[in-house]
Order: sequence, then structure tokens, then C-alpha cells
Amino acid sequence: MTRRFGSFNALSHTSFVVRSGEIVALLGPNGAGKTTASRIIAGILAPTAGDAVVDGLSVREDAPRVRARCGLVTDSPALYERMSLRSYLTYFARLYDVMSPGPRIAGLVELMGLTDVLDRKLAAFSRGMKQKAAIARALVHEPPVLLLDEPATALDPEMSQTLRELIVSLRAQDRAILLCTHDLDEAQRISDRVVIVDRGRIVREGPTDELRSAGRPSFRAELVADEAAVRAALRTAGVTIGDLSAANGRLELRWTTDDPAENNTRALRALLDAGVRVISVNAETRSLEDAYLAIIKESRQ
Amino acid sequence: MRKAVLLARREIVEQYSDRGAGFRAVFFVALPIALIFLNRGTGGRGPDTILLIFALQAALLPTATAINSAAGSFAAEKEAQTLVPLLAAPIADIDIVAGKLIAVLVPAAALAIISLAAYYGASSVIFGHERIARLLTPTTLFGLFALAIFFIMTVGAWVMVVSARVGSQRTAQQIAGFVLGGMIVALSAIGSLIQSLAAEIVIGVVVAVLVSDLVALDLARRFWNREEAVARL
Repeated sequence: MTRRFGSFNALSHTSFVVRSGEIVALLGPNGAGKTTASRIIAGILAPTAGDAVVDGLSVREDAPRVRARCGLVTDSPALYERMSLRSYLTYFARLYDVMSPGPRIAGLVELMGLTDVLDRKLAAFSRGMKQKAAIARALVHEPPVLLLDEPATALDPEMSQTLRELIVSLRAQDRAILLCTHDLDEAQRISDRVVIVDRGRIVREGPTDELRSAGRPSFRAELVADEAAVRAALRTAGVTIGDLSAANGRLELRWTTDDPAENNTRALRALLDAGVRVISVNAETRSLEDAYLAIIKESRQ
Repeated sequence: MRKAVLLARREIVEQYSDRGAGFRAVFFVALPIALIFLNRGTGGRGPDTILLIFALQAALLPTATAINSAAGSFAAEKEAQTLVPLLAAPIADIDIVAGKLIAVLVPAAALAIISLAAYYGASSVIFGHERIARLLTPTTLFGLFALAIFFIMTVGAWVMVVSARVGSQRTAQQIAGFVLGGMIVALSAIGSLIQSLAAEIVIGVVVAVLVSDLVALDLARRFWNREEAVARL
């Protein structure tokens, strides 16, 4: 997909796949093109060039049928707040040509824990409840594709967790879920794959775990020694120091290496030979955030 | 068309669940009646055309409520961000525009009928039923009502074009205010023309408004589209 707004390229030759039963996180800084991508896939914004195929249908050629196959949730619940939850969901069910929406709505509100407030005006709902109502709206026609654009924005941690559990349960129903977010913690917890976009282009794509472990492995050691002795020992061993800092009478040493088996053994031997006391040595686990920041930095360089 | 009606029904319920909309409706129905009470001396002694002008006001003033509804039609949804879920639904652009136009038209048309009926009743009491029955024949009343409908459609379509293109309801309402100002000027002009050439002018105005309606609706169809609305959100 390519999408231009005047001379601004919101998306440039962006291509990725979201399969049934999979959660793909579309990550990127503000203005990266995440929302534009989700709106094109939802069939509400036409691509300037290229196409998006949803459940076998082209958004270019068959946007109305694409829309009927997608459920879209945005960062703002965007509800008609003077309506009750029941009328609101019935209204959207009819727009989506759901014949007998009653049982479907009953099932959805039960799933969302909103049964008790079914006849209450949406204006009286809390932010979390409103977002749940928006998700119920997106699911009222049982779409095979769910597009979640920053769904957890402004939710408290408890509600965010409930939302995550809900999204995971929807994956179990074999839906294809695209989660546009810059909440890396949320993406790390629930996504199967990650697509990172920056300035309208995909800069990295792959399974979440693979992305986290990508790059040179890094290590951290806690030592009791003189800083000069440590530097001298590591220079002898041929290991490049990433960071060496002192705190509370201890030194914290960080380094990266392509060959941990060889270089770490050599480094530790040199440190021990120099009389350095080693308190701990750990392999550092990269969070998705670390990986993301490194990838964005790399792409901009 | 089913979805247009569905959309219109929701919009009407939403509009009129606001207390302000109720007050506006009552005000525009009460205003022409108040005017004939205030001018009962002039109306009683003066020519029939004065009563016709009052009747025209009774038919057209409630259409002012349509301006506010039309101004809010797209701009308010953009502001509340409710337009995205609507545009994401499998509903054709023409159904959205038609639904919003119906939502503007139906309440204002109903108010025009109520206002004309109230005017007929009040003026019969003040100026005598015989005189009013002779002046406001069913054909004249129908003509006035038709004029109101065309007027609502014209104003509604033009203001909706503006509403679809501006970012906030406030801006749309400000522009609608100018339209309302223009409407008052037009009413005054029509009124003064009717005094000299009543029937011909009414017919001429109806034709002019009808032409303007067709132009406005065609422009609304051309200007408003899903793509344009989403790109501006």
C-alpha cells in the first residue's frame, strides 16, 4: 500500500500479512503511518497505489464488502453517548445487516462484562467501559478481521490487562488481529509477530521473540575491583567494553559480543587472573522496547 | 435506503434528546404567532398581503432549526470522532448523505406544519376565521409548505457541504449563522415582493428555490465523499 496526502507520503510501498488466529502488532512512532494503514485495510481510505486484500477481497474493488468483514476499534471509543448500550449495538448491528442482533448482543455484553449496564446511557460509562462498548460494536457482526488502533490508550493498568486478555481470547476464535500501538509492553505481551513502521516504511518485520533476541548478545557483570585493573585485563583479553560504571563500591560492566563462548571465557579468565572479584555475570534480555528503539535508530541512520 | 432511514432516525433522536433543540423548535414555532399578536392592529386594518407575509414567516422560520442540525451533521461527528465507526460500516456514501438530509428535513418539515397550523388557528382567532379561510386556502397552505420544504433542502444541503469540509461544529455553526442571516434578508425581500406581486412571486421563488435545491444536492453529492471526510479527520 502507498498512501499520499498531498505531497506527504503517509505510507510507501508497505506490505505485510496478518493471518487468521494471529495478532500482529504494527509498531511505530507517531505519524509513522499506523492509523493510515488500518484505515486502508478497514476499507475507509483508498490507497493511492497498491491494494489491501482482506479475506480475499480487494479494498480497491470491493470496499463495502471489505468493511463488512472488518471490525475497527480506535483510540477513542467514539460512541453516540446519548444512546443506551443496547440501542447503540442494535443500531450498528443493523448497519452491518445482522438479522437478529438480540442474541449476538447478549453474548457480546456478557463477554465484555457489560450485561448490567445494557440499558444505561453510554454517557454514564467509565472510559474503560466505553472502550469495551466500542469493542463490542466492532464485534457485533462477527468480523474475521479485527483492527485495533491504540485500543488501550487512556485505560488504567487493570483495564489494559482485561483488554489484553480479551484480545487474546479473540485470537483463539481464529480472527486475524492487527494491533496498531506504540505501547511496546502491550505488543510484547500479546503479539505473535511485529511489523515496525517508520515514516511510512516498514523497517523490520518478524516474530516478536525473534525481534527481541535479534542483534549482538549483550552481557552484564558486577565486579569488585579497581577500574584501571578491569580495563587493563579486558584490553589484554581483546574484549571491547560497552559501558563501565561505578556505584556503591562495585563496578558494573556491560559488553556485547558476537561470539560469547569464546570471548566471555577469555574475558572472565583475564579478570580472574588480574585478581578481580566477580559477583555476578548475566546475559541481558532485550525487551521489545530495546529492540524497537535500536531498530528505529538504525533505520534513521 | 433502509440504512439511510436507520441513520436518519438515530440522528433525529440524538438531536432532539438535547433540551436546547426542543427550545429552539418551540421558539421558531412561537415567533410567527408572537409577531401576529404584536402586529394585530396593522394586520387587522392592512391589506391581506400582510397576513400572507406572516403566513410565509410561519412556514419558513421553523426551517431555521434545520440549519443547526445540518451544521452539526458531519462536523459534530468529526469532533466526537463518531464518523470513523460510521464510515467503517458497510453503508454507501449516498445513504449517509441521504440519511443526514432526511434527519435535517423531517423534523423541520414537521415543525413547518405545526407552525402553519398554529398560525392558521391564531390568526383565525385574531382576524376572523372567514378572512383567513379565504386567504389561506388549502392550495396556498400547500404552496407555503412546499416552499418551506425546498428551502430546508437547499439550506440543509449547502450547510452540510460546509459541515463536511470544516473541522469543528463551532465553525460549521458560525457559517450556518451567516446562512441564517442571508435567510432573514431573503425572507424580508420575499415579503416586500409579495406585497406587490403575490402569486407570481411565490411561484417564482418556488422555482428558484427548486433550481437551487438541485444544484446544492448535486454539489453535496460531488463534494462529500468518504475519502474526503476520512482524510480530514
